[in-house]
This record gives sequence, structure tokens and C-alpha cells, in this order.
Amino acid sequence: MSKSGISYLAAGSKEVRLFKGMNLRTKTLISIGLTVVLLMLIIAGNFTLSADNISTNFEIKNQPPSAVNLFGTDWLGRDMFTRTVKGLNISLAVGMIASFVSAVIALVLGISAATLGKRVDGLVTWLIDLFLGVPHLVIIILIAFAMGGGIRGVIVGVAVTHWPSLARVIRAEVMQLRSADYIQVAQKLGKSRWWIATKHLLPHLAPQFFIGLILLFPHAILHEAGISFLGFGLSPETPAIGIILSESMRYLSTGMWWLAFFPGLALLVMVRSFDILGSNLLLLFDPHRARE
Amino acid sequence: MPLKALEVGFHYYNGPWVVSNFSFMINPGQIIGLYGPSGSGKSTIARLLAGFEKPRAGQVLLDGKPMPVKGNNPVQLVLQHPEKAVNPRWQLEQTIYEGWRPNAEIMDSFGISNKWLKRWPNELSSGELQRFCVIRALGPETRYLIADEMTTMLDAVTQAQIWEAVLRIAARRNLGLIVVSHEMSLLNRFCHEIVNLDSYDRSGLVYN
Repeated sequence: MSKSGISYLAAGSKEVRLFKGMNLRTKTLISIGLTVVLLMLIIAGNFTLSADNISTNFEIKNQPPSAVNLFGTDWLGRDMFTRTVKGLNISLAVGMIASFVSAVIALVLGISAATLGKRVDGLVTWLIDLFLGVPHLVIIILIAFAMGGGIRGVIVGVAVTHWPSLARVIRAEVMQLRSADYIQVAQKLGKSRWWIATKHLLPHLAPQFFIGLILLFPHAILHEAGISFLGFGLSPETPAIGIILSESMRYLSTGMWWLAFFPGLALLVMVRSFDILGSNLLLLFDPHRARE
Repeated sequence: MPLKALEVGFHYYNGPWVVSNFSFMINPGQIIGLYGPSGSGKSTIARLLAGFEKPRAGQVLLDGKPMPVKGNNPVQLVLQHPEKAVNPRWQLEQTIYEGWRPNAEIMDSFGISNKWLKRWPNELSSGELQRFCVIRALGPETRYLIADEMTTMLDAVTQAQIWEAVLRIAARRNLGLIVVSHEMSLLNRFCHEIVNLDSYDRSGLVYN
């Protein structure tokens, strides 16, 4: 038993050795660099991979992964690698639009809650609690279904559900700033509300906002894939990763494991890289939290 | 053109009265000390007179009129903690030019070196920062300056330098100066009059 314990420890220290001799900042920068490169590769793949790879070609249908078709081919002879990269790009685009809209909602509501008086604050806080209290997926399905599915329904659904946590952070931040000495001094120097908001408040909020935005991506992408998989989201004409996965389900029982395995894995890797990117940027911008 | 406080009272939300029934008057050119031990309401009075807080009772009048809410306030307050009174994300150049553009003579009289202008607040000591805060408050429209424990945490040399510069400018521009401190020796040096909050009638201070 002790022997397995030791080997366990050894395995752990091996992983640490990858970053050995570097300080936290270097590690952070390397993590950011690697994830950015990976995400850029996915986007670049969308433009470099030829659309011919995903035209129907029955001669090479149902091929397992090989050097030519890295992720194998499907029942119509389409290259799964190309499909996966293009699917990831659709998911990425939908996720980006949705999380950007969501972050803007969070910014507006967060700032107005903190500055427009008690009644607005009460309303916004109530809304935040309401949206946090209901499972995301349920509301997204409801909205996407009510809007007749398609890309619009997904974007609205994801955007409307993902703002509360960021709004809460921004509200707290603005409230703290509002009572700061230098803001009160600026008021007494005759600066307008607008001037104070743009010169004093926004520069403080910008890092929070952008990191919040990046950390929203993985959620938005996962939820998009989730409801597309369930059939409430994107239609089969826009083959996002959720569509690819749900179509593959039918062929899994015939032993074509690569149809779901690689796209699923790729989705996981992309979502995780966004997560790593966001948390490492947070370490970079907000050194106070660096040891958390 | 006096600055007056008429039977002013103040308490935070549901807290007890911090200040109550406080009356005070200062004319341009006067230097009045506000003395009291910790917790006697000195800072609150300073904030009330500068319009940072609204009195819950009574009123603060400038030239017989209520204090303007908007615009450059003729009554400026210099706070005790300069590191909190400057935006940490601004270079000091931006901070000092926030209200007005002081000339080189004023900068020199406070011993501000040109090199400091491009620095960030965390690169300067509180004594150095406080000089910026004082100059920022001394804009052309300022007629009363309230110094709330302005030099309490500074060494004697820096204290002397800052006060010398402030007194010179106050005399030249005929400013009214309110010096809030718990150091009697400092107040005795240059105040025309000292209001002692310790002996002030605080019987009106009751729980709300």
C-alpha cells in the first residue's frame, strides 16, 4: 500500500516539474499563450480546411481514424476532423455573441443597481436572485422553444440567462468605488457624473468586465451545445458541435465510436482552454487574488 | 462671505448622533483650529462643512446660501489618508490636473519634483502624495480649505514644509482655513481661534 502511495506522489511531482523553476507570473503567461494559440488554431482551421472534405463521398464512408482522416469519417463519407473544426467555430461564434450580449446586460444592470438608488437596486438584486435560482438549461430551452429554435433563439436564451453572476460582481465593485475618497473629491471638484463614470469608474471595471466576458464563453458554448444536442437549438443545416454529437448518437451502437468521441473531446478542450485563459488573465490583472 | 454651520446635527443611517447642535462660523482670511480627541466628531464636522455629507439637522451656509451641490465647490477638503484620496490607476500628473493647472511656483513651494508627475501612487510615500492632494484642493475657485488631520502621519520636516506653503497661499489669496487636529501644539502655532470639541456641549448627543 505504501508503495502505491509513493508512486502516486511521484506522479504528482512529475506534473509539477513541467512548470518547475518558473515563478507564478511566467506560468500564468505560458498558460495564456498556450490557450490563445490553441484557440487561434481552431479559428484558423475554419478557413484553411477545404469544404470538399465534408462533401458526401460514399467511397470512404465509415472509416475509423487514420492518418488521412484524423477523426475518421461518418456515414456519408465526410471527414470528421473538418466537421469538428467547423462545428467548433459555429459554437464559438454563437457563444461569443451570446456572452457579449450577456456581459453588456450585466454591465448596464450592475452599474444602474449601484448608482440609481434603492428601488432600482432592489429590482436588479431581485432579478439576479431570480435568474440564479432557476436552472439555466430550463430557461434556455423555454426561450429557444418559444422563439422557434434556430440560432436567434439560442443566442437570446443564452444571453438572457448568463448575466447575473457578472452583474453581481460589477454592482459590488461600483458600490465600493462610489464611496471611495477620490470619487467624492472628484465630485467636489465639479466633475460631472458622466466624467466620473468614464474616467474613474470604467477603467476600474474594464478588467473585471473582460475577464467576466471570457469566463462566460465556456458556459455559453456548453449550453449552446447542450440545447442543440437536445434538439431545441440550432438546426441541422448549421452543423454546430451539438448537432454533430446528437447525429452521431444514432451510429454509436454500430461501433463507430469516433463519431462522438473526438468532437466531444474537442469541445471539452476548447471550453477548458477558455476557462484556463480567463482564470489566468484574472491572476494577471488582479494580483490580489493571485494566491487563491 | 462667511462659511457658517447652524445647529448642525449628523448621524449615519440608524446610528447614534455623531454631531449635534454644532454651530460654527469662519470668515475669509481666518485660521480656525478644530480640536478634539478621537471619536469626538472632528472628521464628520469637516465632511459636513465641505459638503461630503448632508447634515441631518440644521444647515451649512456659504454666503448665507446653502452649499452648491454641483460645480467646483468653494469649500475644499483635504483628507487624512492621501493614498485613498488618489485614484490608484492614475499617474499623479492626471490627479493633480484633475481640478486645475497649478504653476511651477506652487509645485516648487510644496517641494514636488517634476519626476513624480509620471509616477503611480503606489510609488510615492503618503507625505509625497499628500502634497498632491493639497495642491489639487487649492484651485482658483477655492475660498475655504479644510485640513482634516492633513499632516498627522507625516514627519516633522514634511509637516513644516507643507504647512508653510499652505499658510503662505492662504494669506495671499485670503482663504479661510479650518485645521482639524488632535494635536494642540500644532493648532497653537498658527490658529487665530481654536474650537475645542472636548469642552463643547455634547449633552444633545442622544441615541436616535
